[in-house]
Amino acid sequence: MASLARFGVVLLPESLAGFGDLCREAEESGFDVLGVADSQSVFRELYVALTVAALNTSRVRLGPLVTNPLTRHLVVTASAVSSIDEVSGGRAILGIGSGDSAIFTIGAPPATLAGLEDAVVTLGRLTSGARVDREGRRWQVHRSARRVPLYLAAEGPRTLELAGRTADGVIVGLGLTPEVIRLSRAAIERGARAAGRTLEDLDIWWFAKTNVATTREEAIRPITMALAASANHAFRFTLAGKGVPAALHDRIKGLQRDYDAHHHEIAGAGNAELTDRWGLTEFLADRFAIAGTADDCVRQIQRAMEAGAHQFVITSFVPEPRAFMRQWMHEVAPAVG
Amino acid sequence: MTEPVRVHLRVPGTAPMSELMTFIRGVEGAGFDGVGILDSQMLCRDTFVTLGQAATHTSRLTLFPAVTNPFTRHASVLAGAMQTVEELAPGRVKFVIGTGYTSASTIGRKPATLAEMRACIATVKALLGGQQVDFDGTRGRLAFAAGRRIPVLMAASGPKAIEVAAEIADGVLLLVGFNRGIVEKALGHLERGARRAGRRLEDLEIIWAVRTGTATTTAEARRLARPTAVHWGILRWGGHWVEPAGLRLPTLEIPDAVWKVYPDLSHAEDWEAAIAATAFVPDEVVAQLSDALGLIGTPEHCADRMVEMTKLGVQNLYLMPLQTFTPPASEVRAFGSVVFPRLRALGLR
Repeated sequence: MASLARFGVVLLPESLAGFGDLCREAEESGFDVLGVADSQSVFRELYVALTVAALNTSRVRLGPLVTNPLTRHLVVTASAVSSIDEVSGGRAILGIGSGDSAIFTIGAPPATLAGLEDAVVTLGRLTSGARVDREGRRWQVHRSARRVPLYLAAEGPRTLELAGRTADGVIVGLGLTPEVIRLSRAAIERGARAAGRTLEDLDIWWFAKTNVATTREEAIRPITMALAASANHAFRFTLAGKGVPAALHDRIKGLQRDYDAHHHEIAGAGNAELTDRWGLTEFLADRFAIAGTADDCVRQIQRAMEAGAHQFVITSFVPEPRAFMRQWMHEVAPAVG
Repeated sequence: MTEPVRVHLRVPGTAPMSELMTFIRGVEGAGFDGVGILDSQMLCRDTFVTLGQAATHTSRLTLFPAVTNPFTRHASVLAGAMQTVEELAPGRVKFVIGTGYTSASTIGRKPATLAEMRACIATVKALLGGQQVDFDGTRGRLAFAAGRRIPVLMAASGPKAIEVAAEIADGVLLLVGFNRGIVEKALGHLERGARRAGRRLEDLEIIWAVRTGTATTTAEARRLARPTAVHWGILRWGGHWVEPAGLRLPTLEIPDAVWKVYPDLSHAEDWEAAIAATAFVPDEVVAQLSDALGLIGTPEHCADRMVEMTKLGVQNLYLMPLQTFTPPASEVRAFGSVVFPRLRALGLR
């Protein structure tokens, strides 16, 4: 039997005024997962925002989407996520990746593959309350009682494999075209098999930049900064093995040079014009977005589902996120079937 | 003219969050001026989760991490987190950072150096002030810096650290002990540090961190204070201050059992076991240490000692109840019902 589509949403804590209401709206609209972005120089503190989210919801699973292993010590991250798990009555999840604007704004290099593997394994043990012997001490978050599910945000084939091998789930950020979905699933499956698991053992979510409007053009215009962020992030270490036409490689590198991490995902700020400047808007929209009229969105989701994706973490980086979330769950989601 | 005494209380996040919030509301109700939330990632709930929630459960208390450190979170995370809590409790927060104690020892690292403290404090102050900071060639800034003043205090217990704090921070949280000799020596170091930066003592917010334990009898209060007193005075964490305190301590052989208490004697999870491990120290020595350390005794005794210390200029206290794994309910009651009314009667509250 084909699985039904499920949706999660990422919120940006650009302010805490009204943030609790926004979280409640996300839950009431029917999202299964509520993620909060982590970028300490741009957004409000992740774990304070998640506390507000937890206190204003009762059912939705929630956590960082995504944090990184660099700006906080791993034991601080484990302790903070366990605190959120307690405040939310056992609803926490933990999404982690190699770091984007959180580290670029402080001039730090992203986590290596080995660093990510260590983070996933260590955080899994720490949140379950187990002891980790490191640096001559036993690391242990004493009160943790429940292993918080760990999701690795992954774009490249090797990170996707790592996720398949070590994590409980994956946030796939390489794109949503059928070719990319097949390529990503194959990479995750290779990792899963290496750990004696199958794809069915993993909770896989596909990251989509989203918007609904009366025309496709009107839907894409307000989210070009989010598409630029995807191009900057998903292709930053290499373009190899990621299904990008060779003719576009130089343009993507140009966009990455111009990208300003201080304006990360902020509508209307400097990054919004980069996709046009580098002639990449159409390519990036097809690859990373689900955007257009409600019917366009339904068709794009169905195309992705036929290729093997059925759970989507969508962005709400639009001027009216509350109205957008309602429209998505009331008009788009039910029509997907 | 008598100045009022301000009193803040240390609250460790070792209880479930809902109990913590009930407790903190009780602290506000008892008349305290502020709470410091322990930042020790293995022992406590996340300090900023606790502070964020405490902000929405209180209306008057000053809130601060007590104390955070420069190595478990990046300076930009510290600044962002502090500004976030301030938004929820405008005008009611302080930032208090030290070299790290259990937050360092439990992850196998040494406390921060004074050079690291200088760098981190300068960065956090600049970010909170809306200024740009150079991170190895990358210009960083806090996009949502509000520009409202958030005092940046450095916690210090050694003479060098105290001088650095007086030189670079808006204020200092002094964990040195609590008698005339100690206070006078600490003020001397503060003044020297302040002078290095062309400032005066009066330019600094000075908070005295005071070990506090109340009981119905002096003997019981001193018995309960044993792990902290022995940790500070005999294991010599307060080594700089034993002499100015005027203490005459015998040389004692320290049994192995003392070092096996997790994470250490003064933060022990099993307090009675920690008391038992101090059996090698005579009562007479514990009595001396208790008096030099802080406020250990009956509530009436604590009130009298506070009054005495105000004559040396001590106006701002941070009470550190002895135990980390039990909320300081008896101290909240003692201060609310006995100490504060006495201070009020003398015009000190």
